[in-house]
Amino acid sequence: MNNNVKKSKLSQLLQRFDQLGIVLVLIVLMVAVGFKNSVFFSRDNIINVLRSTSYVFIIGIAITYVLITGGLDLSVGSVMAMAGIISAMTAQTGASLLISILIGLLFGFVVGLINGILVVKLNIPALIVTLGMMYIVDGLVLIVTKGSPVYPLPESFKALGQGSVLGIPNIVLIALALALIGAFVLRNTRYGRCVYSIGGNRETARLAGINVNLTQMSVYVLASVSASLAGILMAGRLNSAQPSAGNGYELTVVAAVIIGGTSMFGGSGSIFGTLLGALLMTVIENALLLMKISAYWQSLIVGIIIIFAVGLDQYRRKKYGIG
Amino acid sequence: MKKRFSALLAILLVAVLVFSGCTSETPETTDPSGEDNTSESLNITFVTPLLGNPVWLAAKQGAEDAAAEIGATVTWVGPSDIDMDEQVRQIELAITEQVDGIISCPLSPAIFETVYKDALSKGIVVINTAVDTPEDTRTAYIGTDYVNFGQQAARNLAEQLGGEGEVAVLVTSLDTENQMSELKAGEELLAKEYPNVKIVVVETSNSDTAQAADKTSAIIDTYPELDAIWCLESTSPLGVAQTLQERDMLDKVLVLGIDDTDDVLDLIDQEMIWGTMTQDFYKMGYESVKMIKTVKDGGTVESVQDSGTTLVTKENLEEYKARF
Repeated sequence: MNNNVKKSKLSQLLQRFDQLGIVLVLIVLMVAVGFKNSVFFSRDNIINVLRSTSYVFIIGIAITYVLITGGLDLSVGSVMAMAGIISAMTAQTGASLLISILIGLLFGFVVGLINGILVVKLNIPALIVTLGMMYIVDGLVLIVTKGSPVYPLPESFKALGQGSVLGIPNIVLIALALALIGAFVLRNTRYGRCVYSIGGNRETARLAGINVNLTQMSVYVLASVSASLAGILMAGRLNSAQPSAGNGYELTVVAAVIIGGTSMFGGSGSIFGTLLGALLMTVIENALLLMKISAYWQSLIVGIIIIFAVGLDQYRRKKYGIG
Repeated sequence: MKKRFSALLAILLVAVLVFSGCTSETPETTDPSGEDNTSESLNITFVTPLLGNPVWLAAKQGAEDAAAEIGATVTWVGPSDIDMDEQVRQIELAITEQVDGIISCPLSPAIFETVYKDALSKGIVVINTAVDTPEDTRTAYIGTDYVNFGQQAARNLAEQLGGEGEVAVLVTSLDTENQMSELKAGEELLAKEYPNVKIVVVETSNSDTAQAADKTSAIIDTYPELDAIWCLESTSPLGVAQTLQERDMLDKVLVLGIDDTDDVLDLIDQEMIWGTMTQDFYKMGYESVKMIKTVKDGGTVESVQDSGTTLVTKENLEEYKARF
């Protein structure tokens, strides 16, 4: 009897675990690649995977907020490149590391604010505003750099992007810290609840006394500032700010967030889900290479795995009536 | 994304080998007008795709040096950012001014065809550099021959490896036409002349240094016997070198890059990569002017010319830098 209760509790818990499908696919994938090539579990490779995941995940945390409010931000890839370039150029003038970083983040803040104002005040669809912003910032990148990377960077800048603590790269530690803060704020603060309620029903949220406009604007600022941070860290790692940095990141990030279970229509989502989504994207890419699967086949397989993982969760939700 | 990506590619003119036009046959072409203008000095307009880009400044230098030799005048015009409409407007202006020759780089060939035909019909010599349009829309083309480029790069790498070894290749994407032509030519050459040099994996970098770094890490984990990495696009070498340095493998893996951007030349100088294959933009400018002169004098020129490539390593780095 007791045993049965326990069993049903466990199965209930599993039923309620939103991203079970992704976790299962991740585990199967890791076991498969581990068998084929044990290098997958080597320290170097794990760090490589975690580092790649971190750039996507840092932006993904903020994009989770954006998507939960029912918004979208496609400008993060371009902002990432431009913030890296601005910071790198500032550092090259001999400015201190802190000033260089702050100026890069300030750029992100301004872009995010403009995105937010256009979406909220002028009521232009977020897709159009941020798509336009993607082109504008892309243009700025090219105007400023003429297509050449900003290179080389001062030692302190490199140390930030290349350094590590106890063998764990700085970027991974920063991503971890931001994840904890991001998850806490989203779940346990009034601001987090506002974010959810705007995505659930904007009008109800407004009537409940939430400053809908300010909250909505703030998530775009968060997204751009996070993208700037990722861009600055990446420039440090590569000892150069590349005009092509962040190329395609907007899609990867949004994909990671949605794979992680955040609704495209707002109202639900979690940072933990985004972490799993981002991990899945990087692990697939890394695993296919380690399993010596030809690059010609990789895209096709990535697509199948993503649809399978998300499909599994959708099927479960429907079957057990969750969400 | 494709749009943004290709715009970036175009801007990264270091890798400016976008379309390969007619590389198979090279028939002779003559001046359609047949006029003899040798008594007057030639007026030539060079419509660059980018005013301030170092590779095009090398082409400008080449054109001006040739012009000084033959007593011609070269006018250097073009947009400061990639703007093909502006390029076309500048070409129209040159046609109105009735110049003797126009040199340009038609990044998207289709956009230039009409204005080129107009120029040809008015007896103006039209020379394409780096990118070509169909044969009936211009007088001649000079640029990098991809087959030749791929073969030379593969041969250099194979010889440096002593005729034996495992090679990984990084390309922008599997549908980047010029890079895939280069790779195919290189692969065929290796199979025939250096059968013990094997390309074990071809991976994509999306022209993103960070991706090149991450892929390199996975590649050296997967192929522990790897001897060399051949980069077919110019943002990769920095990422490859970064990872090899992090993993303390700079001595074990030979890296061959492409083009002569500052970072690539610095990497060679610091002995973080072995070498790079550069395109000769100076020669493209120089020979273009010489061809206009030849055609205007009633002579004939090759329809398609290979501007050649140079292998730059630590040994000839200073000499190469001094030249440009």
